Amino acid sequence: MSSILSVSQLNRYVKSVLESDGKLNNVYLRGEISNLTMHYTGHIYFSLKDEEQCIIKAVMFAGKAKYLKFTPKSGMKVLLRGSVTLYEKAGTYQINAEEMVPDGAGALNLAYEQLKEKLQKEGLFAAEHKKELPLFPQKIGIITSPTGAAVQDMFRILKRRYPVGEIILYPVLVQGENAAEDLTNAVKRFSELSCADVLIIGRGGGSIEDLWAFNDEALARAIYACPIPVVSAVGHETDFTICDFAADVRASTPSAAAELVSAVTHDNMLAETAMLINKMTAAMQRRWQEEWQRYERAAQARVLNTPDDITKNRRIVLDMLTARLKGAYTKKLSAEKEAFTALTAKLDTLSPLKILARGYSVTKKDGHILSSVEQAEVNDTIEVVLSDGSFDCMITGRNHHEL
Amino acid sequence: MNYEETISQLETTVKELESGKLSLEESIAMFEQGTKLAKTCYATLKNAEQKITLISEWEEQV
Repeated sequence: MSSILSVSQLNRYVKSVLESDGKLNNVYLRGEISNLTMHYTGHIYFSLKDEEQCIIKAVMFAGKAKYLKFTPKSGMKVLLRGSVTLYEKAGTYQINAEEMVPDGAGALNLAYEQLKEKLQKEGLFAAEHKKELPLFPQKIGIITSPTGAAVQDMFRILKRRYPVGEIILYPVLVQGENAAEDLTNAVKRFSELSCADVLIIGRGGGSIEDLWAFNDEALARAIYACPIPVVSAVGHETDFTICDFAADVRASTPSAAAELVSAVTHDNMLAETAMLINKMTAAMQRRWQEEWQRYERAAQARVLNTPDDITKNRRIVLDMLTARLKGAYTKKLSAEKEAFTALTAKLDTLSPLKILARGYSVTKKDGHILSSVEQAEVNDTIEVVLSDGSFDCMITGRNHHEL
Repeated sequence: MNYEETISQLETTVKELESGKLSLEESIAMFEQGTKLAKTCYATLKNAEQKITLISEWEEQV
């Protein structure tokens, strides 16, 4: 390289060297964003620095930037993949970012905040979409880990407060790789089967990473679409999960959720029933009392108790009516009496014993009364019952009679 | 009829009785009906024993 080069020739050469290096073509780089410029064209220009304050310039072109799942900001730690190149005009080398994700502890938070904002904008957390919990759920669906304290806490509380309800447990993983999918499927299954009046989805407390499955977009959508009211009970007092926002009601712990779905407890119900019975009895007693008083008022009326006050004429009419009534009653009574006596006598004559006493008998075979000669054969043994005893007989012949 | 329906019918019965607008005969009939409803409610509560079913068992039943 003895010949004299122009600056652009040098820059171009260095650029070609950089770009022909296989390692530099595909670099993974971690660092913190600074000097960020979001260009109106959609290109993003920034620098990436590390703990040692070393800096590299970086660019992400609009074509790639549009796939970003977050909005980069200065101070944000990121992980990116790209190729190293040189910007000829400035003579600076830079990294051309193809992909970029948030890095480290802030990453989860960022993804969470951004998902929350997205779903909120879509109206998934809207108050007007929230369903009310039923007062008397017959079936309570619980989506949680079958092991662990949370499920036991809920069982215990529901047993004490609301034994009338049936619990339908959908055991799931609540953390780890498949947890979010498991939870989502459970909500969908309950929606399909429609086999509960209220759902509790939750787990006991844990770190933000442990609760991560509850910050899932598909889960939030499943809860939103679920026709059954959902109580979210991801055991954490202060941190809200996406699941908490999407649910109809948020409980701070699984125990609190169990109490929420059993708002009217067994004791309340007993008390209410007792109260209603008391009210009903009181109302009926009042009614009787009223009727009784009404009757007494009527009976004590002057017209009925001071006959001198009524006209003689009326008095006579009344007397006559009374006499007629009395007569009619007596007549009716004696008629009834006679009819009764006649009936008794008739019943008496119809009594089987009375019939036998008149010389008739009953013929039985194997304990059954015979009413036709067809019911027994010659040589059969039969019993003939009279008023004071019976004969055991053998049939020696059979004759038909036309009556 | 589930518990909720039974208790709400009982509530209606009590309200009607308390209104005093019924005839005596109707009142007595209402009272009898109310007593039956109350007995049903009590029986439901008294015999309540929490049932826990796994979703898989539930699906089998369907």
